[in-house]
Amino acid sequence: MSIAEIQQAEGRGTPALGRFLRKRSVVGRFLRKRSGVAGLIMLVVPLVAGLCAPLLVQIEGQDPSTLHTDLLDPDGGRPLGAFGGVSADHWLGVVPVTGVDLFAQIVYGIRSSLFIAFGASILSIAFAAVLGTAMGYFGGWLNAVAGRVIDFMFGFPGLMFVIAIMAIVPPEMPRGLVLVLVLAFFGWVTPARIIGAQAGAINARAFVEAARATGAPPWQIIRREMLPHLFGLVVVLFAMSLPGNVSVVAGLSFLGVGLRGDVPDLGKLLSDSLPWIYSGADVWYMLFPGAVVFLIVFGATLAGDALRDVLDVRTEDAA
Amino acid sequence: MIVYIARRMVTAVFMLLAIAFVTIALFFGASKDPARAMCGKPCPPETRAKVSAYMQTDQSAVWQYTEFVKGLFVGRTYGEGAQQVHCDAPCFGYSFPNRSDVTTLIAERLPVTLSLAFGAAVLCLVVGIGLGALSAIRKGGIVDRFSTGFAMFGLSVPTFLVGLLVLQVFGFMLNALPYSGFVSFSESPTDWAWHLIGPWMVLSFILAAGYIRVTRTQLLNELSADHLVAMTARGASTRQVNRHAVRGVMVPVVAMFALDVTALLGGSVIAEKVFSLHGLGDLLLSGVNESDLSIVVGVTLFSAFLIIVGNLIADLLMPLLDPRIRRA
Repeated sequence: MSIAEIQQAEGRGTPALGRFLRKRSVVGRFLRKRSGVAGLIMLVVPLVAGLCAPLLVQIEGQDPSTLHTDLLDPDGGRPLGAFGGVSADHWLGVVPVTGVDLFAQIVYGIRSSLFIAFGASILSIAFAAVLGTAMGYFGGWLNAVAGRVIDFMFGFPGLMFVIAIMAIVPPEMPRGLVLVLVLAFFGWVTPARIIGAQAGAINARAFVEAARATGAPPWQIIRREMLPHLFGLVVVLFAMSLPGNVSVVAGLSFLGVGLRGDVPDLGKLLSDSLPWIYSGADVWYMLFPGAVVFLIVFGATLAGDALRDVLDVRTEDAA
Repeated sequence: MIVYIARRMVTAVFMLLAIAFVTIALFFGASKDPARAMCGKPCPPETRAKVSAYMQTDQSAVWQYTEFVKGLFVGRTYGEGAQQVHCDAPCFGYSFPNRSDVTTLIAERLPVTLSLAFGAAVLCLVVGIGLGALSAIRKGGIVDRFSTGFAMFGLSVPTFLVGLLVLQVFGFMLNALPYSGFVSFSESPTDWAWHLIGPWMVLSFILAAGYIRVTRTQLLNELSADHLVAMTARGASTRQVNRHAVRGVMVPVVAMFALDVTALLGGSVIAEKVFSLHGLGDLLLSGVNESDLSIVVGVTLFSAFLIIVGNLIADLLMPLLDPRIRRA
């Protein structure tokens, strides 16, 4: 039997990701965690609603742009009827003044918000994983330089800087894509530090030393020995970065510097609802989109926390 | 020790210079030409060039950077003759639409943001450390379970949602708190606090979560540490043991607080919007809406300055709390 065959038999020839996923105990243990499952449901229901937005809106029999001014109080423009005009035709009522269907606005809004948040999380965590692993494996000057850059990034006034950048985005650039890039630019810092510290610790362990002694090339050591130990951490960091990005996306739209134009967006709905809270005229306009943002963010946090417990990784910043 | 302090201070200065460079380089190539906005309509190219020269936006990024840094120490003068405007040191730029230097604009808004940040910091430290300590002492008890849930909530819920909820519930439904406005501390300390309770609650609710977690974990670790177990075994009083345990908790709390200066400033942008307060965040947003880049750059750099000063203070406090850092 050749070495390759032995490895095949042990399942060692398969890529690390496949082996990680095949640990079915992880899924099983996660499903046994009530808070994790609850969180996952809170996250997945809006996610599916967002993905199926056109279908759902068709079932409701509405679209996100028709102005139903007949459903508004001509004096002041607030929706007629209870709960902001909730009816069989308009499941979550209509938006004050314009009379647009709120349910349609929300499900389409979930789409754009989650798309940006996922994009930013994937980009930032992927970059953090590559950089962190390299920092841990190569150490030395790379670790020192990257550590400096990370310290430097911590000095940036995060949200203020993002607001400032969003202010100067040229109108011809797609704002959604810019948001993804900007959030990713600030999102990799803490994860990279955590992954770097963890990779450094793994790099110092005996089995890595042994692999090095057998003359294994760096790529093989990283792939076979280090990555399997880092996958859990990376997955958890991704899960934990997601809710933060969702709330920042919504927060930026809330401040008026996020998505623009007539792209439906959760944060924009909430921002538009502010004057109606001030006048005390329509609470529902805020409560429905607010509840959806809350569900997504809280659900993602619960799921991320449960995942961290199940995979038993420490995410406290070592520094 | 002196070497340590000196090194930290030099690092802080370099950080500021680097952040200023990145910021100015970024905004130099911005699509929104500040001169275009000031020139009015119609704007013939020669007028625009004149306005640009007057505002000094026609120069290179490096030149603008050195002028900016120079302006911080010796002030800066725009234009000549009758149109000359002077911006005293420390000059964070000059806002032509507002006919005022950015330093003055920041100084006008600073009390609001500082009051907001200071009160929120005090409240979140008291609540966070208090709840964290109580849950560590009675692990698994009712306080512990409550504060774990509380921390979970605070860590996940977006600031503006909490703000909107507080505004809605306390401001409008219960009519218990004022929903906007700011009264300066020197005018009436009670009114000052009364108007800020809402935003304080919002910000500290978001931030306290981290302190609950850190205090709880750290205190549990400390209390089961060998040296404290030995101390208890030798008959030291709970008070004495706690005094040693608290020291170990303070270091991560201070480290965390230094990082939270950023979160505090970011959070206050949102809290200011929700409670219609006119602080630094509001100034930044108005700069964004009016395409007034000098305000945007000035406020961003001033915030960076606050953050780095906060980090520096934490760095200087650390060795006082942990002798191991002192010796390193």
